[in-house]
Amino acid sequence: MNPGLSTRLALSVWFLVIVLSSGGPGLFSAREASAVGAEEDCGVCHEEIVASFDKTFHGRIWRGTGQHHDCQACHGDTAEHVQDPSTQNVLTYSRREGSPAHELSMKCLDCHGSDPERTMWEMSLHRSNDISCFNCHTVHASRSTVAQPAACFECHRAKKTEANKQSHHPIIETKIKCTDCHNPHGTLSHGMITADNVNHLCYQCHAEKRGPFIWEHPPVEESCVKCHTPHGSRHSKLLVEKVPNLCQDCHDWSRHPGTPYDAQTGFAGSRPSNRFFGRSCLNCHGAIHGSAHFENHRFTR
Amino acid sequence: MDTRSLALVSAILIVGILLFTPGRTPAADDAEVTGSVDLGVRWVNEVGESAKFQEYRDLSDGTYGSVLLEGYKDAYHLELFGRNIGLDDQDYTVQGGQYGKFKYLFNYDETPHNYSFDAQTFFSGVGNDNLTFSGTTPPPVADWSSFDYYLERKKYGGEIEVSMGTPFYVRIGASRLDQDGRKPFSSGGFSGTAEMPEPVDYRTDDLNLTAGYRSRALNVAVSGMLSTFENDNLHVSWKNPFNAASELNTLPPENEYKELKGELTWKQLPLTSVFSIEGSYSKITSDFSIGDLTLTAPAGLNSSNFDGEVSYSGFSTALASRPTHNLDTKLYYTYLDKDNDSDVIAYDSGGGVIESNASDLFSYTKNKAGIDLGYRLPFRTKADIGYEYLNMERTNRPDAETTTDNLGFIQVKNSFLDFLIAKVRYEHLNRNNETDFDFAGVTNVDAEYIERFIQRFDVTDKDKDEIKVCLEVYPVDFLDFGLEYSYAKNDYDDVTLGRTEDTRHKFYVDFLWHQIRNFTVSGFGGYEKCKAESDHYNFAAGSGTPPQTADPTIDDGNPSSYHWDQDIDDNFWTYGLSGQLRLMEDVLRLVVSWEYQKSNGESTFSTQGTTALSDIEDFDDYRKKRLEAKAIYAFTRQLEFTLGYVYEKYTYDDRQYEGYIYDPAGSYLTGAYTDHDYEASICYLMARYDF
Repeated sequence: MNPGLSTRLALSVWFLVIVLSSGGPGLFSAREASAVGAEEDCGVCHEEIVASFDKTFHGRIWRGTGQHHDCQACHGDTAEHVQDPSTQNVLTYSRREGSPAHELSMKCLDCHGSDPERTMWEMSLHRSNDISCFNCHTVHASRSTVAQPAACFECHRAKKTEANKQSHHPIIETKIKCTDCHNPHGTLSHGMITADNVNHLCYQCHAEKRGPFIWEHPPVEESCVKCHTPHGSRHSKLLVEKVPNLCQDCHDWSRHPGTPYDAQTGFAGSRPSNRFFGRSCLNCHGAIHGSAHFENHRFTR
Repeated sequence: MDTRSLALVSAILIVGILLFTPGRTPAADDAEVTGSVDLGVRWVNEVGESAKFQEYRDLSDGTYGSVLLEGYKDAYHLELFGRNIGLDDQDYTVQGGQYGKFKYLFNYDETPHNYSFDAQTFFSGVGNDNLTFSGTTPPPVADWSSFDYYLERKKYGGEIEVSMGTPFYVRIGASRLDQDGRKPFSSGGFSGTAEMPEPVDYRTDDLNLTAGYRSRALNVAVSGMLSTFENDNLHVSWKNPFNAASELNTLPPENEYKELKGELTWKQLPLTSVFSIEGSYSKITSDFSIGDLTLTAPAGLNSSNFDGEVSYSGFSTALASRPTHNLDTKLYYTYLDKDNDSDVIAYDSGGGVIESNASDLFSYTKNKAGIDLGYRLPFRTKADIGYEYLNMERTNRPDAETTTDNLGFIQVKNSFLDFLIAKVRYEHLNRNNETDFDFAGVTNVDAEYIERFIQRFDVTDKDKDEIKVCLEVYPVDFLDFGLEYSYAKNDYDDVTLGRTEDTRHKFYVDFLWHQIRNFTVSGFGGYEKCKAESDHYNFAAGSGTPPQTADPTIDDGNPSSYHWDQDIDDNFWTYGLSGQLRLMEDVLRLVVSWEYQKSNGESTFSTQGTTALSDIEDFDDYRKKRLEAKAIYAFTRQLEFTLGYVYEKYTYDDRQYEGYIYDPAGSYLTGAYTDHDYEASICYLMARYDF
């Protein structure tokens, strides 16, 4: 399953070309000295933070773009704080003794509010639950990235548990990021997903499920999450319930859909049935997401 | 030198060239360049050869590594990242730009999805669209050949956004996703069922274009998307092992997706309001003919071509305000209409009976509106209350022509104490379902008579209650503690057949303790318990004497028709512990972590039938263990070595796979998903160089 040598070499060349042709020449030429200096007043007490600020993501951007923002840009008026070093008289980004979440968020949005990705912050569930930007972002960090999924799992414990179950999307393998499906800064969609509805979100990776099919399966065409739980499940294929029970919750019909399948219908039982063992209902109904066959074979063709 | 090592060396050379090309040395104050190179070697010993072990990852023996390079110069920035270089799960990202002017991102990602290794089949042509065998009956299992079920997923693309320092911006992106492999699928009928490998050779191309205006007061954007899905195999032909007949199954049809979307957000309105509105229209089309599928036309077929067309019209708006310092409000409305305008296919299914998909083309209209109010009370308490109304109108769903949801919630959150954040939430949902069956001419000896007694859990009348409690505690500086509990109960009202009730308890706890300067411990635990109850009816309408009826509310006098019900009890436990000990400050660390999962399900039955039913004890039961121990030694501030050991074990027990036979009566199987169990040890040595 290894890609060929040519693929590897092509990748390497592609990598090099991108680097040298885009940011490269501009990036590796002479630069001006830093435009942002440490705030002397703050440095008296917060020496380490002030001294290292030039190396932070914010520090680099402001220096590079020639902007000058001092500590007050984020922490508010510090005059009183200099006289009385309390956490109550400046904006404090801390879970303990921190300033109110909406005040902190508004401070960040002073600069970042026009970004299209954050324009719906006021509509977001995070905002209404008093989650602030600093709960996920480290303002003084050297990189701007948020460690996913670890940062999200700090609060979303149920999702962390699901993502670690035996059947899961490759979230813990970091092949799918939380932000591939959700915009934590807010959307108008349910669950802050990045599509108008669940099916359109799933179709982004599972385009083969889009159809249109000649024969549609009602729960499938309406919502994928009727049968699947997207973060992870103890049942295979991220199903919300085990097959055949999931199918039988809706299909109680004449003959085999309404037949009980118990322990004796397994391979080792006294009444083995191909409607139970192995992949159960899917042993025959392989086209359960929709069929393009011109004849109606009940999703078996 | 193998290809993986070659790729690794190439990546490191590139970084070296960038860093040390004359005139571009970071030390010359040319630019600020940071990054790291990871280079490791590992030995993997796995018992089981399980696809589950390598489901989404490539853990083969040998070298592995990653590279990160970041550069900053004036307003320019650049980041290169490569991970698992040369392996089947490698990925690369290049992103950068000039702040306020433009930015770009290019990426390449490979993700394997291994389903099953060493599956068995008598079919020749695995991986192709023609599966056959010689003779009229399959050979004995001993003569079958082996193959793997897997999917290779390769995605590459990029996105560029240009604004050139103005409020206007244009963003264009394109990507290609190739998927190649085989996945298990089955087909059959009353003669028997056959499991076989379905060829997967998909290509999805996406093109996105967005143009917009942004400012602190107003954001406007218009975007378009075009996506095409191509499948090299529109069908798979197979020789039926039960009668040697040639059969044909259709595979996912090729399709095209188009979307147009507009959105506007207006801020700085009176009452500290923000108003958002967006509308979208999308269409999915798929056109194919019976000839494309190499199908034989059934008698009386009305059209040999199928033009599939499904369109979605969406509209959403919301108004969020803060009329007073203490009050937050949000009003919202969403409309979504799915219109299935695909061709109706009709044919004579025998004896002049016309079969048609006219009632299998589904459409719906969804209207949702709601209001949320949040009020800040004294003592840093916030109370939220909300109501949401959802109405869905469906066509061709007589069992759920209209459903109406009324959802209400109340939530209180308090953070008055510096060491405690507490949140309690209660939610109630009432769903009302209106059916629209036409039972004219249907009597209780007709199978479809049963429909009036089936209530499907996703749309039927129900009441749902959900309670959630969260506590975040920081009693002292060196201890963080979190606790979460939720309870949910769905009560499906007036159900005769189907799921009658389900309940869920979920309990999670985690902590981080770092009292001693050189020692940190963290842990996580979870317990979930889900119970579901359902009632069913076994019958064969019209058969036997007296004739069996499709009416479960009466006794038809035939012992072959009977009630049975099922209770499912799923239990799941997990916990993890991790400890880090700094043996020598900034020089040597030891990290040990342990994770455990246990899943235990059970299905119990009761029946009014003459055959006793046996409970199922092994019901998606599994145990998963993982231990990792590593020592990290910092040779210098820039060079670090890690020596580690990982142990993983996974065991799975399920009644549907116990005593697995490849050719049980009425079936030919391949062993798909039978190779769950594995036990593996991994030793690794890794060097990391930061620059």
